[in-house]
Amino acid sequence: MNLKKILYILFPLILCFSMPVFATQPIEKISAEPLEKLKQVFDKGIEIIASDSNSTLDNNEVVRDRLWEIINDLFDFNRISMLAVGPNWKKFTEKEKKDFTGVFTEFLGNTYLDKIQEAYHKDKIKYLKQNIINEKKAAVSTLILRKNTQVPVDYSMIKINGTWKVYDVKIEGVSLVQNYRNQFANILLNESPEKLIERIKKKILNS
Amino acid sequence: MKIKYKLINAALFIFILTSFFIPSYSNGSEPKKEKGDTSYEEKIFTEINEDYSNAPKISDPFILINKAFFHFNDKFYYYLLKPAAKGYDYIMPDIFQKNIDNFFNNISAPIRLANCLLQGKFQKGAEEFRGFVINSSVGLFGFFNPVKIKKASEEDFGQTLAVYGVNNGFYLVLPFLGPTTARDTIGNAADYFLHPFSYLEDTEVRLGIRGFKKLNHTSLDPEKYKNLMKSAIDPYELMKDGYLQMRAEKIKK
Repeated sequence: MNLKKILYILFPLILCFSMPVFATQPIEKISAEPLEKLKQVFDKGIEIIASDSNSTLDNNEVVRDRLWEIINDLFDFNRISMLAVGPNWKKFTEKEKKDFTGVFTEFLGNTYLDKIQEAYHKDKIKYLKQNIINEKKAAVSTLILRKNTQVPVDYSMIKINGTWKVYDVKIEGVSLVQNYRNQFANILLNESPEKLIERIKKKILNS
Repeated sequence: MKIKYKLINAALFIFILTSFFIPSYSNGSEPKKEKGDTSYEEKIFTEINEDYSNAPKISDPFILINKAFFHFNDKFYYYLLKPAAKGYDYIMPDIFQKNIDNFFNNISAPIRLANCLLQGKFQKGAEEFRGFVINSSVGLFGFFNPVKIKKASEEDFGQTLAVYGVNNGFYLVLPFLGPTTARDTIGNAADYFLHPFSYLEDTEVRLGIRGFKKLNHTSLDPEKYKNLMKSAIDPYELMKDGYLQMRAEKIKK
């Protein structure tokens, strides 16, 4: 009888104390907010460029490699490649998929890094808002402030393995993924995936 | 004694009940997190992929002529417009460039206002009206814009037609003017009659003003087109899709 009584009181108490353990989970979610993540990465990028006095030189490999590292962490280039090819992705062989992702990532990285390195000292980024569409999808709106103009840039993000990653960039309302998807669909109407990969390679060499 | 028992029993019942619910939220997803999450993420990704597939397409029956004009405009930019805009940018103080751009924006306010009203966007129309009155007076003929109109939300007759259900029709590239559609060409023609400068009698002056407007606007960011082309694998398609997406965005707003 006494033991039972103690158990009756103790059991709920144990339950009470065990609850805060379960409650710790959402904290992780808050720390990985999409806008915060984007800002952290960009701030770090600006810091990397600013810390190097020769950063305006295009061939500064060290700065570029370091930038590349953080950009690669923010952008999900595998998914971007798949989305950019769209329905034709199924027609690619495993090797073509790999090759395409490789060259397209390099191409995007180059154009993007060129722009960042060229513009970081003139342009400012204003973070406007984040729109959490659902627990896995979000959009972050920013504004690039230039000397004479303002360019709205929105980032579409998806949460993969607990971290937010960018899968599309919308510049003045124009989705890059959609735009490349159209370009590639058009090329793939008449040309093989291999030819498309070749084309992107050429573009990398010429720029 | 019995009442105490009952109370304790009731408390136990409630706690057991809640204990079933609370851990089941987190515990249920915790061990399966890896597996459950990836399939969920894949599902989201598939949805995203489908969203892109539903994007509107446009016919391009005049593709050969369009491509010819596209190349013409491309060369025109590299050999004439860009060098001129850079030279102009060099000699013109920044503030003048901005003010002149403001002036041209302000003077086309009647077009935007009329189209706001035609689309039933009365609040936006009121803003346009207010902007026009204040910018034209306090802003000294619009050279200064105390009231700023967002570029992404400027209305025109092409958008009005879209609101009334008119489709893009086919794609067109016009010399000097660049990408457009059948609907937007009609829209531009209609807007032309609302533009004050259209009533200038001298054709040369009219064209001169248009050219100057374009030059000044390009000088705000002379490298814009070049940078855009740098990111293109198929430049013609980039412009086509870019124009359509931009218009679709504007129509939404």
